[in-house]
Amino acid sequence: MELNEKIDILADVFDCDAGEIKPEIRLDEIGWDSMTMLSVIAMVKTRFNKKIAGVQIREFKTVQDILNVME
Amino acid sequence: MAIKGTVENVAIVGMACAVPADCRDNVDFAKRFGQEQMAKFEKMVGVRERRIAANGDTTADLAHAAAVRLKETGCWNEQDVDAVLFVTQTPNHVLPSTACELQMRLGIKRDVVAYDINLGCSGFVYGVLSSASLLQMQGIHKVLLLGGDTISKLTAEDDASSAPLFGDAGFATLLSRSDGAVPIHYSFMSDGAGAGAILAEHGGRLAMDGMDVFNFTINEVPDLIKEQMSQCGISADQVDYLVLHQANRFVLKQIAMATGFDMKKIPVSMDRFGNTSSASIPMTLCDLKDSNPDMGMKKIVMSGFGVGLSWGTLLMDFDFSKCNGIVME
Repeated sequence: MELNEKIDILADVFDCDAGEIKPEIRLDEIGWDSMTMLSVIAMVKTRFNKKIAGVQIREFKTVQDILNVME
Repeated sequence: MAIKGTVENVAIVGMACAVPADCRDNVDFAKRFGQEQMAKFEKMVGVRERRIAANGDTTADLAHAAAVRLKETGCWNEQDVDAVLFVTQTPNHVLPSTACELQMRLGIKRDVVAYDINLGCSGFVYGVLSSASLLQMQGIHKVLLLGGDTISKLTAEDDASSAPLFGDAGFATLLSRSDGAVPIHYSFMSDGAGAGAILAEHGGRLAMDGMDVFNFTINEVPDLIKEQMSQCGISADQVDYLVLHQANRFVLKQIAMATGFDMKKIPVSMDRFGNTSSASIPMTLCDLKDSNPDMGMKKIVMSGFGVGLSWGTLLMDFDFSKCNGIVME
């Protein structure tokens, strides 16, 4: 999947414009709370059939951390 | 692999629920946790209101009110119940078993089996399994399956993830031997490795790791439901309703997507009653009947999942005419 497609998916999850989502952006700048974490876990499971553990997602700091599991 | 099988000659012949009269909306929570946070919560979790038991009121009081409602319909009396089960995570005491207290309060005869089952989110489906098992034994013809939870007594008011989520409720269900009843198909699983995901120490508050619970649910529950239907040769199109433990709306949507069910087939009661733990499935069934008074026999899949970790699924023909509403206690 191309980067711009992943960015579009994340913009949907974070309910913001795709332009606001850049790999180096810190997650706490774009609304990184427990409900968004659940949305990311669900999206990765549904779109990529991958499981992210609770301890793992709490370590995520930037958008790049999410992009890394969107493979 | 799950514990799987079929129960024959057993039917659910009555059901009723009870909730406290005290209804709480999200206004106070919005003041405490912030308007924006609560708006997001309401949108994703789907709880607008919940019922909260008064300080002195117990889960047993709610189950008692539901049992009395059920008795008024004539489906049981003090002399013909052979077993009383009480499914809860919030019993009246550490000991003795609340089922014994309810046997006494309901005036049920002493030659009766009575015990508690310590399960929450999966409690109702496990209660049906236990009742059906008892009904295979000599001398047991009717089982009064009671239960519910007052989780509000385990949540701290300033806990933004738990306090707005849970509601209090009780239920009563009568299961009976019934020759020729359509078989009930079951699948059950347990995994104590996840015990820490939802936990309350003696005298302590409920602690829940939402991520771990969510991961467990989306990774395990849809597979069990699909396995159950596949084993019975039934597709989502042939099932009238998928009645899920009311964990939260987001979870229900994920399970719907993963199992191929339209959300229209997944009834919701948590919007007005919250996550009512072991009572959530009977609450949802009675609520659905209240909205559709003429509803009769339907093919349904029920699935309870959560604390334990524990999860189970029943596929059965359920007669909605046996639902007798939700009593305001």
